[in-house]
Amino acid sequence: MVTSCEQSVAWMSEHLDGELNAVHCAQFRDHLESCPRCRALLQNLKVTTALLGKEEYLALPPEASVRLRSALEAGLDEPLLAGDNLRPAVTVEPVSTGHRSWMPHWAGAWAAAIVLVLLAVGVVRWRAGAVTTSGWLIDRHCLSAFASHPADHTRDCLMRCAKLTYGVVDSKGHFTPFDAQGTKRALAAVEASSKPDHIWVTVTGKKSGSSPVLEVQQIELTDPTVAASRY
Amino acid sequence: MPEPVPAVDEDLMLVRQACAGNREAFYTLVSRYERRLYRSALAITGNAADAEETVQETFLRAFEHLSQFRAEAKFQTWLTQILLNTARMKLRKNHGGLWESLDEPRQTEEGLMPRDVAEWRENPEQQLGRAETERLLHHALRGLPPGYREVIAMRDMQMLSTQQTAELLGMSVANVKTRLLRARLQLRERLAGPLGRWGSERG
Repeated sequence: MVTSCEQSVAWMSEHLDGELNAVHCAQFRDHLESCPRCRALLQNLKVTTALLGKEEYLALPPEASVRLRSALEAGLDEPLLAGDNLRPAVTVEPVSTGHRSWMPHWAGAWAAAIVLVLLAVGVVRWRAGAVTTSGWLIDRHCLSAFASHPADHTRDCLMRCAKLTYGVVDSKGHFTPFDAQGTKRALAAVEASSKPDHIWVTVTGKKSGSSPVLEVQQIELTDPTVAASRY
Repeated sequence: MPEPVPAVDEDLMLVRQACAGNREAFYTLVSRYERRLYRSALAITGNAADAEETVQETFLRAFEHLSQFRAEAKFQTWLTQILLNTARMKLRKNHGGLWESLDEPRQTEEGLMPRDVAEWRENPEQQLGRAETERLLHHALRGLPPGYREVIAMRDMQMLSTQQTAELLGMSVANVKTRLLRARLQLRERLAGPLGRWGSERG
């Protein structure tokens, strides 16, 4: 079979990464032997990726490294304490699967403890049949726009949505709509938050029968840059 | 060549020490990853000030949420996910609606084979000089759509695997490969002016 230039170009990236299978690799090599243009293109791509891999290009300037350490030195004290206070939170988390705990930094040890006790009491009360899920808070009518351009999803967009049927999109892209009360609570939480980027929610609620709608019982906004990390 | 990725266990040990309050352990992790993260941040955001801020915020967030890091994950991947999210947020904040128009190119119908291809010199910096080569590379990267810059940063700069990149970008492995091919071809096209010109002059 004769390999076209189009096909040969389509294989080039995989060839560079050593990911091209043996059959295609042999066909690719045959094509290269008879095609100077594809040989040149492959050589150009090799030079391009080699340039990208050189650490001396686009390197961190030494003064930026110093500034990084000063910024970290200034910023590390508070989170370290908050992190210590948070650790017991993991042990009182009976409901959730994949639930992430988050507390504001300003909460001291006592405040955190009180909140945790209240949370634990509440959790026990609605434990039966409760579902906890985390993901982007989103209006159902923005779902298709979100799927193609997730980075465009902002709090402004959330609050502008005229239809207002909120729900949560989990990391697998599955959408769970909220009941009317839940939508109201979510909107109130978004409006009350001082952090415009915090549109990631952990929500607990109940589902009745086969209905996909979540009857929201508890909702918590968090920082998506960390919460959205799947690792 | 990029330095080899350190053993996962060693990172995990440092994470545990940092969680226990050992500041030095955290700074060892910073030293280990700051250069790698900065290069990716610069490629994705396109300017030095944003890249510097992105790296700072990434490490602060990572430290703040260090206790959430799960032992079965690779620290570099976890850190890179935070970097990616932070850089995206910065881009969105600074460029607003531009994201949508820049994200995916409209040329999907066109063939991938470029019209003019001439062989380049293996080490362009020997002819152009280091500073000029770096300027060209930076300029060429800035011209790529954000989605292309991300995949190049993950694969060709952070040297993450196709599988890791797919997980980080929330795409299939096949889509990562397609996007990477298009991104590399477009970057080559943008470098072809200066590098190709020199190549043909030489020939």
